[in-house]
Amino acid sequence: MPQSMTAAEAQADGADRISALPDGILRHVLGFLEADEAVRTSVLAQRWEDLWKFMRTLRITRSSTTISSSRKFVDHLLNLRGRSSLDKFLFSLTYANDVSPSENQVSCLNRWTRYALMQEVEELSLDVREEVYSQTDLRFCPSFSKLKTLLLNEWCVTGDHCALACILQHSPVLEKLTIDLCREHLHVGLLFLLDEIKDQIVPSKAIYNSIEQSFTSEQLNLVEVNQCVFDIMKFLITYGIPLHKISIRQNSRSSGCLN
Amino acid sequence: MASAGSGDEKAAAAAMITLISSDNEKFEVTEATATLSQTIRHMIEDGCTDGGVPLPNVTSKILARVIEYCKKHATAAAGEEGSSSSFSDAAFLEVDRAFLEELEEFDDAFLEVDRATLFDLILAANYLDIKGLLNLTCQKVADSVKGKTPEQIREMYNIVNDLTPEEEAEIRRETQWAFE
Repeated sequence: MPQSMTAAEAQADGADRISALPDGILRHVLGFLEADEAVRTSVLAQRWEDLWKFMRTLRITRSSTTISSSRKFVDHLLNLRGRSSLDKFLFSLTYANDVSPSENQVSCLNRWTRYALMQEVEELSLDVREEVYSQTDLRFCPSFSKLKTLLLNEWCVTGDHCALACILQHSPVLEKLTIDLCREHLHVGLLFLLDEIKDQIVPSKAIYNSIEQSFTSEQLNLVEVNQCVFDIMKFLITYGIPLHKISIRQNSRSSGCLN
Repeated sequence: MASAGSGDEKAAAAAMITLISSDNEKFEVTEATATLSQTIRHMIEDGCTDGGVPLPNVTSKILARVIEYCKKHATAAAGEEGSSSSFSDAAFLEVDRAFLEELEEFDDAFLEVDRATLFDLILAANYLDIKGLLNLTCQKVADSVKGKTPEQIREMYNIVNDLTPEEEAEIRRETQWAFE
């Protein structure tokens, strides 16, 4: 596939076309890289030194590690980029099962999430284990005025599950909500999800066939529940979300939970 | 969008736009195809597309490729709309998936170009403000540097390192946390 991109070809035409691209495009390119790779481009040449600080997408994927080992990285990253505009914050953290997170680590995750929301991201993806997330201080968040796409996994429908309600209540323009559940969490997840949606509906108009109005966001037009079973679908339909707005996805990671 | 949605062939035929490349070649495209470009969409809204739309930054070679992309994606968008409103059971999910797969195959084949063309496509997508095409092409560049060392990236793209050894060492010190 990448035979069109060989070093030989580069030598042949000789020009540094990549550095000649406008800043905006280069930052856009960097946004497709994992954040650590993007930061490492700073040593390429003067042109590249500060570009990563203005990327509008942060992709942070850490695995087989503890939160503490990611802490230095994420804190430096966020501190140095400061208040630069941010559109997407995509955070995925998987680590060894036997590690139980300390309160301190939980507060890190909260701090990073708050950073993303304060920067008024349009897309937020928090793929973390539920135990590591305490939602209490999300309640003090302001309105997430630009948040359009949200991906959450187990943690949002287990525990005291107020984060989902909180985020939904504060997201007036949310268009797409994805809840990524693997099979083992499905039943507990389903129950809380159902509660959550009921809570959202009952205080408002109690009109069961217009859930979009019941959420604070009138634009919410796609609810995705991954690894979903018929029950969830039936429930969502009962509450007035049309079938074509529900999308079912089976991702490879979750499918491991099937057996 | 109005013409594509109506299904009225006459209306669709009437809404043709002429795009003129930098080397003065003319391309006739439907409005649905042309409006994947936000730049052209705004020009249409402002009613200044009579007599054709001159695109002084885009050569005919690149414009032809851009139009190829827009045609495919405009069709896919129209198909998607149709599928979600007319199917009310699980069958539409299959239709959806087939569309997406076909589109992905198209995109993969579309990206089989030399590097000079890739950069020209990026600049055209940026100028014409075609979000999908810009993402596709920028992603391709990002993929090409994934997993590479700074030295390999420099070599690959002919980037001249104009940092003094001291400056480079300083930057490495400041970003040590990203190299660990």
